[in-house]
Amino acid sequence: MKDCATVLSAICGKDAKDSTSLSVPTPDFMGALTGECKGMKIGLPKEYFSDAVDPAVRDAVLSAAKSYEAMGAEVAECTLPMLDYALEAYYLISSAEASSNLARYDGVRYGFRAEGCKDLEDLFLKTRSEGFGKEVKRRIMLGTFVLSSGYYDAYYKKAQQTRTLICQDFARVFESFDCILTPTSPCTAWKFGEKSADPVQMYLADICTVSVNIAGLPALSMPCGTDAAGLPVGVQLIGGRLRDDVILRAAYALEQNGKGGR
Amino acid sequence: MKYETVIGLEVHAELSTKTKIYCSCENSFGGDTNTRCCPVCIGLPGALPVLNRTVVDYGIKAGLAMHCSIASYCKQDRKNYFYPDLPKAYQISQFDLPLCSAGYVEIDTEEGMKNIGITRIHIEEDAGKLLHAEGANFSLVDYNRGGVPLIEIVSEPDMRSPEEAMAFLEAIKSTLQAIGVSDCKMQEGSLRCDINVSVRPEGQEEFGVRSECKNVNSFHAAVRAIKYERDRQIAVLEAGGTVEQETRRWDDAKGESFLMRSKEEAHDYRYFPEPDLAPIYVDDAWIEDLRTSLPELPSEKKKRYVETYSLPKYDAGLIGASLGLSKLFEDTVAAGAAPKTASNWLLGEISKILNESMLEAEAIPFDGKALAELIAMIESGAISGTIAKQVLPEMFAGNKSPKQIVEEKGLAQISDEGAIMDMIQEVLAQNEAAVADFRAGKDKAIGFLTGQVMRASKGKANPGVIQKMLREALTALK
Repeated sequence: MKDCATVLSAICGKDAKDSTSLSVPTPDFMGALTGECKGMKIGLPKEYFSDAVDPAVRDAVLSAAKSYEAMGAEVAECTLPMLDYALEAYYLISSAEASSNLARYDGVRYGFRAEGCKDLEDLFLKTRSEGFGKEVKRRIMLGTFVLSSGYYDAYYKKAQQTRTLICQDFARVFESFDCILTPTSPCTAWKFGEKSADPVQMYLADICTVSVNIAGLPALSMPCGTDAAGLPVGVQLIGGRLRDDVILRAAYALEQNGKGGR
Repeated sequence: MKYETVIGLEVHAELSTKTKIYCSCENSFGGDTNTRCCPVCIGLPGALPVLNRTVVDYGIKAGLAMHCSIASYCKQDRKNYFYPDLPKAYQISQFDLPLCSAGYVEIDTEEGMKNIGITRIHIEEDAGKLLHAEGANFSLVDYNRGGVPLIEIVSEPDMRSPEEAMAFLEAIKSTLQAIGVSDCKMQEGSLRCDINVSVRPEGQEEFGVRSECKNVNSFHAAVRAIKYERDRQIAVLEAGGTVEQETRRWDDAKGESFLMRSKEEAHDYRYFPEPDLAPIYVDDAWIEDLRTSLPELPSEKKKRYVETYSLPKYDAGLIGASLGLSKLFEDTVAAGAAPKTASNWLLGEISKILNESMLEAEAIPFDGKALAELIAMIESGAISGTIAKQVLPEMFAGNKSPKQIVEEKGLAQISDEGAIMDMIQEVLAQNEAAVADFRAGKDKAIGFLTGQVMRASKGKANPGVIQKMLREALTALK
């Protein structure tokens, strides 16, 4: 956690060349590493502990919660009802952006250019057909579709509206909690290529982390035990907007307690 | 059947900011190819746009000058399409929430003043430029223009003739120049327009189907393209056909437009909010600051010239529309010249020289004091109007005052009666027929003889004195 806080202290703050960075004071991240978390209010959102979550993962997270209680933190259940829609919203928005961000790889300015193109359209088609892999193409096509006229309102716009509801969900929880404790992934690692045939199954593994990106919140993932096969389980701590210091403090306390870490 | 033409225009004006819209590259015309670019304006992965605040200032100024309301909240959007001059394969523009909306500009028409509605003005970035080499099977791209800030001004379909469209374009140009946000040089492509034309039977309420015409690069081309499109659509209707909604490309050399794409082939630009940029919030204080910084607008100048100087509306409009002419006019009048006389010189001889040498009024090398001096010399009889027209080009050529030029070239008017009498005697001796005509009662002959004496004096003799002395001499001969 010290490494994490050190790096964050260095990279945090306004970047004049990034309009999406904020001009707010950088918190004292190192100072946040007190090693204790007495009185902290930690929420366990029930939506993150459904039957879809691997029991080994659930047990590891719940044991982390027990450690927090033992250290004097208050742990209680909370609810994020909009979470069900986070994954859908995330894949619509991120694919839409990706389809546009990746459009510059058209063979004109730089990067891969297909050979033997007879005209401009051919250059665009061949370069992009040959240059991109399956998953990237899947997202470009999905993103292009949801931004198309006639579909924008039903998909992209709706996803953005959902995003607002998810943000409000989290904001409500942070009125009564300092941070949220969840699994990082509903399962431990699967074999390479095992889920490639079913992308939706693969996307579902992102369910615990994408909501954070959607909501614009700080989160960290730390190791917390292993499953029966010895594969690592991760817990995720989510903080309120700009409260990276709060989750660093909670994570460091767990790490010091011997529960976090390998 | 009689038809009415309905015209709407989309004008793109390059803003004359020091730097580009999303990076600090120099914003100026020309330069070696691909020397005014950086990772941002050539769209390298990871480079992010940062909005140039002056672009928003200029956009708001244009909006205020065109009586628009300024959005307190607006955003920028991506317009996605593939073309080699667009390095990111999207243009950052504004879609559903433009910076300015619902304004108007005033134009002069045969039926009097008319307001042409401005639907919206938004800010966006320009694309690069494709260079096609003769006979080559490839094209090159110059990205210097990529990321140059633009405003797009969209009019309501309020114009009813090519002349009104021309007046609208002139009004836009003079307004943008007056407020200093664009130099509007058509030859450098800093002002371009797309034209929307439809026709409808006279008296019909609903609009006809419109076509959009692109690649119109001069006001003159705009007028020709509108006339061409109007005539084409009327011919289609007269032949029993229907006008299709389509995009056409104007070819100025051929004087024709060609189908670019039909409605079915229209691009789907997949607009969505630019995630790399924050929304733009404009508060009242910002707007008021800019409002108070606005100079007098061409339409206001025109009004003032009519009211204060009693200039004819026509003169006032032309002078008021040009920064260079209006400054020279006001300085000349301040230096003592009569307003109408100053206006005659500006719109007559001076404009003629500007047109012939393809110069803008801002390039006139002399000031109002010099022009007033020239006018005063005519009025005092020191030189004739004819001579003054010879002095003027010299004033363009160097930095000499009219007095210096007259002295150096020996152009001062001859009012010495002795010298003039010698010339009169000579002319009378050589033009016996005209003298006989005069004696026979043809008073007109005196005009011809005066002209001959003027010629003998190389234009330097005082015409009033000549006439008076001629008449005396001829009467004495009777």
